[in-house]
Amino acid sequence: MNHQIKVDKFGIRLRPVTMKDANFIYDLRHDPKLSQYIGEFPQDRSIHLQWLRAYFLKDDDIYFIIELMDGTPVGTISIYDMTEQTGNWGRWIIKHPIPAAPASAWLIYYVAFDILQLPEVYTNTVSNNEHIVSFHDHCGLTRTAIQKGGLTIKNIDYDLVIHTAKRDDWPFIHAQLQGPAQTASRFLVNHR
Amino acid sequence: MSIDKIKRTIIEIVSEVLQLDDSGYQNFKRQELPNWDSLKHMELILRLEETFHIQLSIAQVGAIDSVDDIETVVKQCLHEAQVGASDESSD
Repeated sequence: MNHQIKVDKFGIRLRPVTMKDANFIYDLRHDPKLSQYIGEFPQDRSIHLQWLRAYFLKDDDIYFIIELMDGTPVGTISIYDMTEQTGNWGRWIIKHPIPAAPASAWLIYYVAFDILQLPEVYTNTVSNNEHIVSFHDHCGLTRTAIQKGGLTIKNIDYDLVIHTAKRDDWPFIHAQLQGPAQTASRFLVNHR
Repeated sequence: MSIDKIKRTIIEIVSEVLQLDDSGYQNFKRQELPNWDSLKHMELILRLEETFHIQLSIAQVGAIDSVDDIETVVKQCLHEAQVGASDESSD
């Protein structure tokens, strides 16, 4: 979707993806360490460009670049498969060692609940990606389902843990993320 | 602060934040502890900075993947603070 949502807090900004971000996204999604537990992505850059162009035509998908306040891009995050009732938040990738996870998660909930007014959002995590499963648990999300063999990466089927957050949960999620996001913000300002 | 005291304090902080049994010094590794996610990592960093009166850099925060790494980083920061203090006093 060609959206115009731009939000910032805790030294992190989410801004709309543009076609100029194509190479950054491609490199991020092909980083072996960062892409270990995400869906496979085409190697062919022209297919990637085609996919990104198609994204702008969709009306149920908002895709963000996570950047520092000086404009340095450090990752991506998005809400896709949106309906009036729900949305799937994901495509969450952050470059090492930038501690932008708490702030970017806070911002995506802010977008989902305060801006888009969605009643709930959910997120799918490969069960082997234990630190992210734990992250969502610590935020107070509810594990609502396990999708057996929900994602295949390099011919291996992985279970997906589905976590759901309802709008009523947002104050608790905010409280869980605020402290770590504030601690991390000092490192984001002095990252160079 | 003695090396033993530093190690003991680190393991106390790690055990408390990650809710582990404090059964003496063990080189817990981040990869082996699902609970050691980025929220807990930030909580650990804050507790270490407050307890030892140090300030970590982003590189040091990113380099911590185990209890041994914490010990290395804390010692490094304490040493730098000591050198900085003696430089000031020699002016």
